[in-house]
Amino acid sequence: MKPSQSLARRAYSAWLSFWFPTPAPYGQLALIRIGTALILLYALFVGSFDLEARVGQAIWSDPATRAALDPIGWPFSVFLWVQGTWWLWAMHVLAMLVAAALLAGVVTPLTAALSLFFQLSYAHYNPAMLLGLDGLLVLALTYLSLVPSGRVLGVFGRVESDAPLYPPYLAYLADELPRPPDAVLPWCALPVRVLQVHLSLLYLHSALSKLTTDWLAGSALWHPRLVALGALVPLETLQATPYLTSLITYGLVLFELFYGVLIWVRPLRYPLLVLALGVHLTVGIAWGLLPFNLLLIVLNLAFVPPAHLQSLVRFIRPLLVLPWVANDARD
Amino acid sequence: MTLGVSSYSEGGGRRRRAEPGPYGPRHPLLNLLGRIEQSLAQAWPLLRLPLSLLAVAHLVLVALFPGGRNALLGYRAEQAPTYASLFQVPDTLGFYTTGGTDGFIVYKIYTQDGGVVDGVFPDTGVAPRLRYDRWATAGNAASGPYPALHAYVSRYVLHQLPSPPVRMELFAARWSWDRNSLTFPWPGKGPDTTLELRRLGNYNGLTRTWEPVSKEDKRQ
Repeated sequence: MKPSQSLARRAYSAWLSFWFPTPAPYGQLALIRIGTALILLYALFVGSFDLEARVGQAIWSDPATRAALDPIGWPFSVFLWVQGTWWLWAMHVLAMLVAAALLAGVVTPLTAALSLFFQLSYAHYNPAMLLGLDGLLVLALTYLSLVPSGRVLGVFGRVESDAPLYPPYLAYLADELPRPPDAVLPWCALPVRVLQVHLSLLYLHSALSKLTTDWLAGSALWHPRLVALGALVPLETLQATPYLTSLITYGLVLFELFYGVLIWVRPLRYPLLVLALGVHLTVGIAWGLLPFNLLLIVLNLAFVPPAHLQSLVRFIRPLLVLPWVANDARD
Repeated sequence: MTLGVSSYSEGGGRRRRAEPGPYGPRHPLLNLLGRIEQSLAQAWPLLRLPLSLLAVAHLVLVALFPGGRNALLGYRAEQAPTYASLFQVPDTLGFYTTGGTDGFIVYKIYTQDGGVVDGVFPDTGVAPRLRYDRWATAGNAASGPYPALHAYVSRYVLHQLPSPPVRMELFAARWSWDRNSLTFPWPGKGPDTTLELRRLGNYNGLTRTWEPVSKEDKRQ
């Protein structure tokens, strides 16, 4: 074998092993799925209070305004295809049922894809009321729709103790088709890897966008809206100590700037994850941005070694006391 | 061949009742999904390279245009790449910044009993915070150059009132920061802000019509 061929082959092998590491057990996917679905359900529930004002026919269906706010070429939305309050509520209830099915782990690629469709429908119908949470939900649901995350901690488990330990929605084929050599599907690792890179990019973009005068002035804790709404942290005390507020705001920028890079250094992974947990919990609770920050914590589970999360799943499962909760095929 | 569809007999063509599997009755949809998954698993060695290239293309788009914006260049695409704009995560990861979340609406209502009521949209009392944040985003958008949104906000505010007013004036409001210089490690100058107001239009209670501000008024 020529050295160049060997090099090319090694590069190809390294490329594949980066994008397709050893398939993660389903526990990691299941925890991401449950966290995402819970936050999605909460967002949908809160959205129920203003549903008709938010997704009504009054103004949000104005094509000119929508085109100005949402530059997507085809702003598809299920709410453009139905008319009347009854159908509006029917679609909203359906979206909540689908999210509940995703939480329960029912045919998760389908329920995640449907949830994604509903999320995009809300977003494109009324782009004036989009939050970062919506974008993050779209991100999470996109990757969840590519993997069968309901095979662990899902309601369609085995009902007989001697039933084949085949992942649930394929159980019907278990007797008739040969099972793949590995119980975990080989492509499950790819969406997790892409999610990791996507999150790194997200933190980097966030940090770069903060290199503006207001953040570099260390004044982020004095944002007028935060002051107007009030925060759990004593803002007056912080304002009296500019050194501290400057340190906090610069610390946040530095954290976001380097998180996406340093998280790939294996020895630093857990310390950084603990730091991320602290940062997001603090910002979420103190600034009242809890759903968004909780979802970021959930998505950061992608960086936790899958075997460790699998141990967590083994710990959680008996606590659920549900005999029909699916077992992992690897157990 | 009974590939996953065992509810049909092989030879006679007579339909047979589906036998329950270990997880319940078989379903054609689930069988179809299973077949797709099985085919993918068998074709997996051939799919790895194209799928990885697809993933890289996806991430390059996400990196260059997160939500249709380029944070590095400060560039906001008017016609963002359609696909990338699906991921509308703002650059700020949920933190409040003065970049795009501090615009709102201020209104002045002249009531029928001669009183004058000032208010803001959205009301800071809206709870929970997630709900308020949505309306705050709408308020921020409505403070921009979108006449249809101005009219909608006026209608929404009027809808919340117990009785129709004689007149309502609508303004776009934005906080202007006084302290925009580097302060660390030196003490800050103080968190003072000023409110910039720009008239958007009036609601005439007598004619019950929305009158957007004219170009002449804007110049004044």
